Amino acid sequence: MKDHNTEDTIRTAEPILSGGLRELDKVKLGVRNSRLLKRASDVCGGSAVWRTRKLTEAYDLLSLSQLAPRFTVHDIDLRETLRAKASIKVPVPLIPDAQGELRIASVALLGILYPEHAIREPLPGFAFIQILQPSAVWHANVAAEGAQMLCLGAQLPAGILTKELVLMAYGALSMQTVMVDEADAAGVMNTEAALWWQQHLELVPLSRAKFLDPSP
Amino acid sequence: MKELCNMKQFREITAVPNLNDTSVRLSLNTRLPQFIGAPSDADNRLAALKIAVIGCGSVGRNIALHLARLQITEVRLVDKGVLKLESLLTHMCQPEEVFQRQPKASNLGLLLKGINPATTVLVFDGAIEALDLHALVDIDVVVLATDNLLAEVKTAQKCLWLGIPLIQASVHGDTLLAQVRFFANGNAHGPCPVCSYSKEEWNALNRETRFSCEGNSQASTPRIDGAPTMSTSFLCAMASDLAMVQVVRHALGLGMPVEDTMVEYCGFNHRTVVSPLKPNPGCPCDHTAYRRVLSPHSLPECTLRQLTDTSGLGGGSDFAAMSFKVGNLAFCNLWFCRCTKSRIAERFINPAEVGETCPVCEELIRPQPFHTHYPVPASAIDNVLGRRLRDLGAASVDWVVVYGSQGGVLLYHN
Repeated sequence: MKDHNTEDTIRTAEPILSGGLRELDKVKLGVRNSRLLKRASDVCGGSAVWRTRKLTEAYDLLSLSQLAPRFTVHDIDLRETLRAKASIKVPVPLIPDAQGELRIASVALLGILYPEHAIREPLPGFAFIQILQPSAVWHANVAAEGAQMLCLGAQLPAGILTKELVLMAYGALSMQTVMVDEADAAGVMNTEAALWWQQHLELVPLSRAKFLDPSP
Repeated sequence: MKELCNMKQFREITAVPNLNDTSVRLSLNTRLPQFIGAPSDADNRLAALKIAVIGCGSVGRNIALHLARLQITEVRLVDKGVLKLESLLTHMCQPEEVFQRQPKASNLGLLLKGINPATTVLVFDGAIEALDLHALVDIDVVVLATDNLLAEVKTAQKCLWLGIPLIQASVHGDTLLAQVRFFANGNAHGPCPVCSYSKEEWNALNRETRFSCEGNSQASTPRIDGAPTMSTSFLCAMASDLAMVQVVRHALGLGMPVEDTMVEYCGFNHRTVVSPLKPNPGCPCDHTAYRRVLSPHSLPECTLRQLTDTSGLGGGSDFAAMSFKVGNLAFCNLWFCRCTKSRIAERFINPAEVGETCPVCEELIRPQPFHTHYPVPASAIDNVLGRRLRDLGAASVDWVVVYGSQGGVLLYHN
């Protein structure tokens, strides 16, 4: 995959669809996104039902990136597991500095993973989104050690859509939806961060902006 | 009990305590009827059967006992549950077995071995989800008798990939309904249990499957919160008896073909209805069966290029579009530890096992999920395709699936 910093970020202006995000398939992909999709679909592997689903999901992600100025898809890989490298302009909480002040990054680079069996089985909430950058994320639902997987909940439905994963990731990172109760049966990925956030609820959410807001 | 080297996950029940097995060797022909239209070697055909029973509860337990009485050659039992007090209401079991909370599969295995010591009985006291694909490769029929929807989906997919007939027995207590569905899995256009899932069933599957986000867990074993089946022992027995009729009809070719049909018996009107099962083009399961190839060589000693040749799927220009499942191992391109952001791994790892430790920071070296593949595309590992699997971290792998544009080939080695 290409370095996201070198990506051409020209996007096609799109009106908001009357049917909302249910109508992403009606968005006409711009030149860059069409090229991304073509390159991925040329090597799209797996069974017929999986290939069809991956192409639909890839189209949705690319369409979503044209509707949401804060969301950019840098690359998509459809060879086996659907892998997309994408960034969201969203406040990302980082480990507090030496003075205890919370640090905030403005962009998250996400690795979106969607394996074949996700279309028929519920998978763990931490199976889909890896925060590739920034590092040192300070969030109850992001593992402090390991690969910074973002947990989107204890119960996600079988066949969940990738566009839903992106929206959930935005909600979780901006802390519009957040679970900081370390005693909850669902558990948290980072207990230390959960306890810190319980003491700093006045900072929550980090942003009230909607995902589709025109100027992120 | 002993662990088998070629069936790592199963344990064989080899003897029943306090039972002189020479005293109970019987010939099936002593009681086997002359079924109308049956082949002359009916007893041998039954004796040759290898059947796996997934779910050893109120329905599966009866089925397994019937199989032992038919003196088939091998029964494999799979259930992660234990006998509990409520089991006395629907299972054929004894109070002392319940009080000891014996594992259902192991407990049932001992019973089967007592009925027919000549039958090979293999048990797995775990979930079907945890069972290797390869573990059912030589089975003739899988019987599914569970009320766990995730297990149903997993079993359906395994049987589709292996092209093994699947018989599903179930009950609906409120309507006194016993139901048996026979999925032939003979071609890619047939039905599977998931084909007929309604919105309610998908909702139930989602509702009953929960995962913990606790800590930095990479464990992905779900907790199943499904409600127990509300039924009576006699209705469960009815479902298991109907399933056995289908097993014998299929094995001996009795009557009309049972493949891809559903039999329903309703106790309210004593009606039995037989109807065809239809495939659903939108089913999320992969309905294409793998071709099976017994590898002449130990798989860890082979390279993926060699296995591609053995699979018959060819290489050349198609090679870049191929991919591989190497047992349950994922291929990790990049991993990292506390002292380094990321480093090249280029080896197979078991995601469920704790990895190596970094000699510098002494922290665990962890895979980067975004750079870890399962299945792994050939184009993601083209620089190691000529190396032996043993040298890539897959020293004990005993099955590999090679995927190409013509489908998948399961290679295994005993």
